[in-house]
Amino acid sequence: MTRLVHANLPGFVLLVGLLAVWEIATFGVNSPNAPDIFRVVAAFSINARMIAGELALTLARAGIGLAIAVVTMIIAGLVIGRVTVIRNIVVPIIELLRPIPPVAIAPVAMLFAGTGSSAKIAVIVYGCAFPVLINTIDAVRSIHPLYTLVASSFGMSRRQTMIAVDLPAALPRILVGVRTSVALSLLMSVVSEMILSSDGLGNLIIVAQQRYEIALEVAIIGVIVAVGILISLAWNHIERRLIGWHYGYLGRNG
Amino acid sequence: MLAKCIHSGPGRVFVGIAGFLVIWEAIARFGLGTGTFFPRLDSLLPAFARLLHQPETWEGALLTMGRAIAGLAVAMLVTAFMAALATLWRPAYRSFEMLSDMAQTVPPAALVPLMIFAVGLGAPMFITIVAFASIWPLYAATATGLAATEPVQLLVSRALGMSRTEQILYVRAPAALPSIFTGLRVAAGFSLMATIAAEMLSGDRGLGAQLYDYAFSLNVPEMYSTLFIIGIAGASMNAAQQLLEKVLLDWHFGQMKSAEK
Repeated sequence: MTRLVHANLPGFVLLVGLLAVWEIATFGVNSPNAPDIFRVVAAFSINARMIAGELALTLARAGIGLAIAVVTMIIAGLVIGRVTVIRNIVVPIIELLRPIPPVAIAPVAMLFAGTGSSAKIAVIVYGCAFPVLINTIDAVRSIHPLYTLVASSFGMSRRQTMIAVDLPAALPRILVGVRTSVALSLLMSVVSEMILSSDGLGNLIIVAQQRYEIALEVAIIGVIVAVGILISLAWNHIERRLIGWHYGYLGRNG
Repeated sequence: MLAKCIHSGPGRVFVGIAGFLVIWEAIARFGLGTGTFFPRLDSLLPAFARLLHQPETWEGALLTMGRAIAGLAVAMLVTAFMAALATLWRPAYRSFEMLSDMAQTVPPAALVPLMIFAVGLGAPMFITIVAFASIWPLYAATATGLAATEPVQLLVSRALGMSRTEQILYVRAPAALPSIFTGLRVAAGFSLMATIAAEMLSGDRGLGAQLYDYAFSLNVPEMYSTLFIIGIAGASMNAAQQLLEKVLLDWHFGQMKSAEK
């Protein structure tokens, strides 16, 4: 914690300043409609167990959706990037679908899968798919042709080349897309729960709204921010493990 | 590479639409063949045409795009202010870095109930939420772009006796434009997404609310048609931006081309 404070002292000053402004602005009001920090902390501690339970659901769906999207889209991206016929047909379709915001898919998912977990996971998969897919296609397309030539002179088949040459060479770029999707997965999970409400943190926000428990809403948003930051820190570690060898990574972070 | 494909013209769009329609009809007939949730083209296309003839659709589209663009405009103003401050004063750069890391994890949709409570339904609610959603990618791209100006250009500007403010306006900002446009493209996507989410959750008109109503009243062909209209709205925002980029960044692309030669 002290290391974090030292790492970005101005950041913490701004954060504490903003919290102070909030406290001063709401302290005198003393109304549940304008909760101050203490009310929010109280709302959090009263509901901590419930929040933890719903958070587990939200995270589980985000994780499953993200995993499905990453695995299928990397495979699809490797194939689309290498097979010209498929690329010529699929890329224009991707360009048609991409402007549709993922939240707008929620009602469609509801038709097919109701409001259960699978509908929400479908929305998360759709939202997380595009960053991974587009970065993978781009990455494969920009691999130096020499790599492919060497692979073919070693007598590697197309599939072997994709797995042993294309995938590692494209990995740094692919992970740029995955990073976006990691952040998106939590957001999409919460949004899908708000629209297709039945359970999860997103639904809890809606419930809190209906009960006029503003403090609880703010507390949930605080929990989402904290979890989001933890996920992003964890992802930094994973990324270093996966592409710590890459010069681009060293140039960025080392 | 994908960008190049888009630029290669209307042929690609036709390939895309044709491929999409063929796959759609195939799925509707042979795949998820119930027909009710995945309507065949003979019921989908008439619904699409019907929606295009309704004034409500156009009003909704105007409202949605207006909200997205207004929020984006506010985001650009705030970004300009924040990025200028961050460039002039190092601690501001560091503290905004942290603020943006935290704020990016807030789902814009989660702000809808709070904002409805704070300012009620209507334009201010949408503009605040959309601006909040689209400001962070824009700010990140602008701040890094401003910070990454070539040192030689900065030295020259100092030799010419420019003040730091002049330096930002006449040297750093033009040099950062390519990066700013990259951020703007992401931000535009976020702004439409936040608008649609806010409309779905608040039910306050616009394409998002229409989509939600069609879906929950099981008007399936209308629902898909609205979905595609939202896609068209997004695509036209992209196109407008590419046009602007082409006009403003002609010099940059010229440089890239001569560097390639």
